[in-house]
Amino acid sequence: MRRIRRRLWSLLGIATALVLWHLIALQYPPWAVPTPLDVARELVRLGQTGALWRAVAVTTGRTLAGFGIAVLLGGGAGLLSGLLPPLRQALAPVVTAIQGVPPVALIIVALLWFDANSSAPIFTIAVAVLPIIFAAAVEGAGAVDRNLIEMATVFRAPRRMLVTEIYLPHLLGYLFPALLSGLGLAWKVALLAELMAGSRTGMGAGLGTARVNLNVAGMFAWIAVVVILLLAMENLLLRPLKRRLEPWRRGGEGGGG
Amino acid sequence: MLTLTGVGHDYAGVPALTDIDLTLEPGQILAVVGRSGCGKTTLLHIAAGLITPTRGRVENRFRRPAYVFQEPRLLPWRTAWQNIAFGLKAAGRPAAEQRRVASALMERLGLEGAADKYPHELSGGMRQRVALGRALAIEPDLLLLDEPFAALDPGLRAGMQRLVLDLLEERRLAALFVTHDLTEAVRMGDTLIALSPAPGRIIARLELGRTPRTDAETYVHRTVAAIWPRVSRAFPD
Repeated sequence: MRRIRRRLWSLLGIATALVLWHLIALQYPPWAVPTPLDVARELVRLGQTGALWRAVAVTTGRTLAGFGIAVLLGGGAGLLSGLLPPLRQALAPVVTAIQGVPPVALIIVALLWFDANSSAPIFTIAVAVLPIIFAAAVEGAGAVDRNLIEMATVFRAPRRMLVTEIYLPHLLGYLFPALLSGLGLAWKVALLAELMAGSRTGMGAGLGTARVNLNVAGMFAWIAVVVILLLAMENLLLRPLKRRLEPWRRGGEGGGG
Repeated sequence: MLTLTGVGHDYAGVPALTDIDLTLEPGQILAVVGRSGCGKTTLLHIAAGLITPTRGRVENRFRRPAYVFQEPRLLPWRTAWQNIAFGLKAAGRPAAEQRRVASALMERLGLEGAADKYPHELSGGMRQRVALGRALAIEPDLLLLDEPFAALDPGLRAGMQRLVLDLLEERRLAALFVTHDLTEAVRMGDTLIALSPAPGRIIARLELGRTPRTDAETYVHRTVAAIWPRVSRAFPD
């Protein structure tokens, strides 16, 4: 019952936002501010031509590639830094410096080094997301329960088992929020990189084309696709993955049912 | 057999234990009693080989010590049986053997039906029994117990004490049992050693024998009353 009521409020919020958008859009000419209906029509048109799906596939691939690299490198380096304090002291300022670099600047550099149609966006995403994952992994590795480590030592667990049985499962809880915000950032940077690099493929390219044609409804449609994809990725991929990987947390939530 | 001769240990120059001489024979239960901070846990760490004492000599002939901590210290992300099998996994035993040993122990410890539960789904007493199972799974010859019942409800404590005594007897295990509770030390120990407040030194050594099965409460109370004059210095108030 409570869950249904919560859903209802969420739906009401979305509906109100759409109605407000519609009312505002009516005050302006349709080429300047499109109504939600215009955007929906544009979405359907893009979907029918097939351009939408190709662009979604290309950008999703780049986003996940860059994100995956960031998770592997950032997570690995973060875990090692958590285990070896000297390494942490050496790496932390470097990573902080990287975090300070605006993604736009990264894109410009990436364009000089990499191919605008494939590796440049991937590189940019990876570098932009890496510090977030790294910071979470360092913090998680540092917060590991010393009592469990002592227990494992008493039972003569090899180092490999300390990592698989204690550090990794513990880290997952710390990493998950970072993975969520990192994935959101990855999408945004992917779009930015494609647009700035003038990629011929991907959603950024679609957005660029819509801009050139002064097709505001088209631009809105592409933005809507990004938002939908991000929400889908979070709710259909990451959260179920978390439930699968952390079955031991399930009993803690809610209870009763 | 475990022999400590003139053992002492300092933390950052501050002595925690001094002049400890003791022997622990195979199959014997040695209860060490003293106030918190008197170096009991340090003594266990020395017996487990976790720390090398600053002074004295340690001779440990036991091949495989196992440890039960005051808290269960279970892995929250592993089920009860996986927690019990932890030491076996660490020793690289095959999965089938881990499963078999764990389920036999769960039955013995009254944990039927809890095999696939996670620690947060178990009661405090069950968690401590899982921790006990984890220690027994590696077939130790020496069990090191660091106030293993201190966090349990008094009602549960008596049952656990009996269970541990039975298990020690069944498996002819030696045990070093550390507690701040004199009645518990009398109930568990064949031999009792009382440590003075920090830095811990031995102020009394008593041969008690094992607690009888019948009239255990009477035995414990009578023994505590009889030895109190000799161990009271361990509990200055």
